[in-house]
Amino acid sequence: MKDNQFDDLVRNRLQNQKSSVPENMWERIVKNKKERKGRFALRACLLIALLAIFGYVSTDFLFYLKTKNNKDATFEKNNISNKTVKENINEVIHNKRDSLDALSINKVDRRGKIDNVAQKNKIINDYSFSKIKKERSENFYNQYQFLKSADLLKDSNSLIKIKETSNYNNSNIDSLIRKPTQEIIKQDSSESLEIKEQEVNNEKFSIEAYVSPDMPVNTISSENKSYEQLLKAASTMRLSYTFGARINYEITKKIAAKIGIQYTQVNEKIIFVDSVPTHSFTSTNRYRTIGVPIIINYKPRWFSNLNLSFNPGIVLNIDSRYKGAIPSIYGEQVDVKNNDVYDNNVSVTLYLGMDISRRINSKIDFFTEPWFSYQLKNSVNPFYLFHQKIHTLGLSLGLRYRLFKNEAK
Amino acid sequence: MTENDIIKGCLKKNATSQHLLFHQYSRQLMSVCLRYSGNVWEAEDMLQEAFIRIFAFIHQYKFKGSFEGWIRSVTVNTCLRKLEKLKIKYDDISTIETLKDTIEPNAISALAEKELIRLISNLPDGYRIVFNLNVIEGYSHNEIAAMLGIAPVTSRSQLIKARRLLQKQIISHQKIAFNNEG
Repeated sequence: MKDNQFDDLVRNRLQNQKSSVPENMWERIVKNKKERKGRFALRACLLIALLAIFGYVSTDFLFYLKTKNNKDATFEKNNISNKTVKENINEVIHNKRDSLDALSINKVDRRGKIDNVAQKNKIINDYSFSKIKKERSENFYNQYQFLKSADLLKDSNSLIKIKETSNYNNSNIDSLIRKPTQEIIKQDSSESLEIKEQEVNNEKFSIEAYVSPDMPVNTISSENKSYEQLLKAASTMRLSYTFGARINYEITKKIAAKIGIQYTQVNEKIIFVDSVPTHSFTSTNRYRTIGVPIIINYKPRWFSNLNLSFNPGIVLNIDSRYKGAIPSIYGEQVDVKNNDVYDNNVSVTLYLGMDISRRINSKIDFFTEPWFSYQLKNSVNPFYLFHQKIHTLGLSLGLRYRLFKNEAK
Repeated sequence: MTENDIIKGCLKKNATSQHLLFHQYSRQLMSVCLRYSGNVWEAEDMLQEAFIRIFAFIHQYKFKGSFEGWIRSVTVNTCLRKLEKLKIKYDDISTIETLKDTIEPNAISALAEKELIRLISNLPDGYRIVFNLNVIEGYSHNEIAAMLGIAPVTSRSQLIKARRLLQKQIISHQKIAFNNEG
């Protein structure tokens, strides 16, 4: 037989050949589709969360760079202005009597030094500190730092000495001291306001990380009351935990929005004792979920340094994994993972927390948040003859971090 | 429900239509998977993956040409993707054995289809894939070369070797059957 003939014979026999398919093939396909959908949702949420974090960090960094540049530019301007002040003062000093040279401050008696200190403080208070306290501006602080570092205060003291010991027109010296400083104050006030505004905008964002010991509350129900009793008797909830991170955005002074990602593990101990000894078993069940908390933060009032607010919202459970065993209606051990006892699909949990925070420093707050979550949907596969919802009580402890200082508060 | 209605239902992600489509083609596609895979479990995995891909990419079918041909090509591609992971080697063959015995046409007819599929499954991976693609699906050597990333000459040599080996297996199978009858 030729090769072509052989090929044709084989092709004719097999081209429309049909083979038997396993009975559970359709169920396998449906299950696989569901799992992929769940994985896709998880990946999408993780991607969104990552993009949000990246967007936040980059925006924050850009704000930081812009603010830093503005500060540098203002400082440069001040530097130039103050140099002019110093030059003017020195010119006056050199043009006047020989006894009024700049070194006179080192030659005064003890009493004179005390006076100088007092005068120095007065100048600081008059021209720098009072303004710093009043305006709370970074620029004035820079101004003061500059005056201090450039020994301008020392020269001002010299001028005071000149005022005291000479016949020079005091009002002229006063104006000489005051004028440039006032000019600087006037010039800086608009810029300082701009920087303050930017800082306030930046402070709208904060990021928080938390960990929480949880106490789950198990609610089991079944149309078959004896099975319900059996499940309730076998189940004991154990201490569980949650940890996560959230981004906080202040919409108004009283309202903020939070979004993040959190991991929860609920532990359950199953001790099933049956009249048939071989059916008795114990199991530690673990229900692991990844959720996206979407929360509105409401601050009703302030208690001095203690900040109290409420956090109502929802937690979208994007993925759930289960491990362990439960007794079946016939008292047999059922592996929850292999038998798909629980759903892995997306469900919603209602969330309510009370946030109590305390400022550690200008950037970091410590907060504690007692919270309660209420599971809306039954998590058991409809094939199994019981309903289960796990509500959770928890106490979050965490840190809230701001990238920019909030000195105005 | 016509085939077009089922396809339209599948386009709308209708579960009933998807189930109907599965019922209509699953046995045929299982046969394709069995020919490409080395064992039943692998074939089941391939079929599962093939249907998931059919439902996911059904929008790519533009109602031109045979739908059966389209789902068959999706299944073949799925099988090839699965087999790609095995990193099959397609070695060139320098010498080709000649068969001492000649194969009779009725030897193939006498074989049950299941037996024939089993014999094809027993072929080494490279031979089996090229034989299926060329003889059953009707792809040319150039097309096979492009699909598998090999040279057309390699495809040709793999086919010749596969054909010889399969003929050998059929003859020995025939002999065993004849001896059993005797």
